[in-house]
Amino acid sequence: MGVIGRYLAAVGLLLAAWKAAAAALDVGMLPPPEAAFQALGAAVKTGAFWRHFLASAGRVAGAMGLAWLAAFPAGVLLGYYRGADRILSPFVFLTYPVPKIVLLPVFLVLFGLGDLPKILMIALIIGYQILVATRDGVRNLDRKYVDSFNSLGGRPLQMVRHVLIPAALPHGFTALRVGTGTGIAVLFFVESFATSSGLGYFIMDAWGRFNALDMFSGIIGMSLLGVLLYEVFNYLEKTVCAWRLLESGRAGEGEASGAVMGQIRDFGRMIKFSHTVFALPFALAAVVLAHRHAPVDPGQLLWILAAMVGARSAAMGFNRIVDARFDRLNPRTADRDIPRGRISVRTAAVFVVLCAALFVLAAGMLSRLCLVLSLPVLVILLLYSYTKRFTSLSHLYLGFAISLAPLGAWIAVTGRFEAPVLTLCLALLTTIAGFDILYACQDTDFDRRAGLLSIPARWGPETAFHVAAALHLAAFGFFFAVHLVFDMGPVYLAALVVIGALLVLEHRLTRPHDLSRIQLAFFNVNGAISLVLFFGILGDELLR
Amino acid sequence: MIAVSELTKSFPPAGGLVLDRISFEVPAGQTLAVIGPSGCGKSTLLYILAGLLPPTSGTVAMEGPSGGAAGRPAIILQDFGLFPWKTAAENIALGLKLHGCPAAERRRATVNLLREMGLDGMAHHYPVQLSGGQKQRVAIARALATKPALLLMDEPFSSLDALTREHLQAILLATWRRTGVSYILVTHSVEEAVFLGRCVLVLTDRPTRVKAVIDNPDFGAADARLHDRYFQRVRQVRRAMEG
Repeated sequence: MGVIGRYLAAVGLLLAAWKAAAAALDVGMLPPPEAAFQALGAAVKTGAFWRHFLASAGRVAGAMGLAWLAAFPAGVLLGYYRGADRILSPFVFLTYPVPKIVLLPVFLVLFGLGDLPKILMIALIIGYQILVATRDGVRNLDRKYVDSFNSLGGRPLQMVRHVLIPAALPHGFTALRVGTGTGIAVLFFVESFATSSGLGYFIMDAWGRFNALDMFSGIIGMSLLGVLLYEVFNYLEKTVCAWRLLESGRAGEGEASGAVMGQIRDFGRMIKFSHTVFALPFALAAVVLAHRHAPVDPGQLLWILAAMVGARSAAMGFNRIVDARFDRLNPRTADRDIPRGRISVRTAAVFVVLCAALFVLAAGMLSRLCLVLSLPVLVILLLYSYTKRFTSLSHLYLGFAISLAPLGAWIAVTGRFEAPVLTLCLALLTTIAGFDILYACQDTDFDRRAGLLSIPARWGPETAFHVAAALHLAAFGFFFAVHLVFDMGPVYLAALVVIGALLVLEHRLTRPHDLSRIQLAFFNVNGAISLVLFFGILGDELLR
Repeated sequence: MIAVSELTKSFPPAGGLVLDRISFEVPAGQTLAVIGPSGCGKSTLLYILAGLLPPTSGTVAMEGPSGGAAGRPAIILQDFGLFPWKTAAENIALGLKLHGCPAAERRRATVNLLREMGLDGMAHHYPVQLSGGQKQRVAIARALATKPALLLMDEPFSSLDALTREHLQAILLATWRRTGVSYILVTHSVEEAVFLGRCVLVLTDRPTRVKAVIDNPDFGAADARLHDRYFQRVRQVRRAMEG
């Protein structure tokens, strides 16, 4: 099933090999993976683990930042100015093969026992790699760029900015990214001396106590730090050197992670992941309100988020599969991923099943009641995809399905259903239904021809606009009802005013026969409304 | 106008004498096509005119349309020399930016040039996303952005397919009529030289000398390729090259 499947398979095989090795060797210092991850799960709940993690992260990130600041400009200089290169290169290349790590004792004497010698040691080792890669990159710069620039009348300093730095960046970044592995390795080494903080110390200390589980928590933590850092540099490189990726015709530097990221992006686009912003703040607002009755712990919040993402992605992915037949015919949607063939129906189906499984799992982690409710909720969400084949009121059904989000969040926290939260659900239902009617106006003609049902298709865009306006008026009423039922304060009232203004703005931005700004209305204004609602409620609760 | 007198260039020791006492003139607003065997130093000549290489001896005098000293001529290198890390719009605006032109004016000029070159919608594309013909148009726009009095082009259309080449030749002529910019164009195609040069300068093999200067008063007609006089001129240039 493509790249993600292969990667999941690789992860599974590696874990299996680990498990087998642990069982076969049966030595105390190699625990089985599940025990190690359990120990990690316990460790991440402690402040001590994070203190060590942050100490390590600070050292290695600071060192790599320092290495970049010193070595990149030096590399550009040596690469371009032959005079400087002639004098300095012998020094660089004589010292380059020397293993700098052996100087650690000297560094400890010179710079004391604090963070400084550790940071300098990592920076020195990574800096050399950046320096050499950047210098070579600039040296090999095609002469025509320099000529071209000079013919435009540029001065030397301007050339540094417009030619040398942009040409050198990909080389410097590659060295930085590839240097992450080395950086983490050196970090481990320097942290095993003269310190009592950092994951290196954490690992060595656990080893000294023959505590294999603690040791593996540290090892996994350090691995995660490495992966995190690598991805940060990878992202920076892709953002800063976007042109380079286009040139090589690849989605990302580094075949594997690039392809995975590419596929994740395809899926993200398919389910319009960013639109989760509409419903999520409503669910979070329900969590904030429910917090009054039952305190929420971070674990719960995490599972609520997971459930939201899982449910929404499953529903949207399912909808794309069911609608693929129509999307293919509609010029507005023909470029979606399934009609275009970027994602196969089978792959999308696997994705939907995985997301649905995530949703049920998350619900199960929240409470037994949530687990039981998750199944009918899933059915309700997936059924939406068929409603526009038999009722023009599919917009209301969509609003209803999405409005289950705050309800579910409430039940997850408080453990029972209570009527007041319905105000929030109804506000969401009417808001979404109104938006969906406006949005459907784009497809009026297509829906009529394809025999799909919607309010604009059945009664025309003008009537649809009136219905949407009525729904949004009702929505405003429900937002006000939230104020009364939950006894909200001044911050929420202010938010209410902004929401009212945004709803009016939304209807001013679009006209029945001018939908050019519907994307703006739909995504920006809609997202703003739900965010204003959330921060209004959160602000009020914080002031209580 | 530009007056080149006794221009000589040698690359000691191995390269030897490349240009041997080259002299010619291009009156203001006129155009010149330079043709000669490959490797004869046509590019070197352009680099010297652009100020990217110093001549060994001889002089290059340039005069603006109003008689004062002309600004630096713009040059379009053989494979366009667009910066791959800059978008089409950024490439075009670069010359203006380097000379401290304010942002608003730069943007206006860039938008105009993109439109004139038929590049609407390409502003934010990187060179790698453009076709050969589009890259060439971006390169022309970038060269014209600073309103130079003289445009130098090193085999500008040689890497393009036949249809794109004819299209771009027409664009160049239209631009020349609209702006009155003088240009010197190096080419290895006799037809192109006759189609685009008011004057055709024929060079010998190394050490390069001027073999013939052929006046071409009929150049610039849109449908020139349909007329006998065009073919007579092409034959004249060919004879000059062989003779």
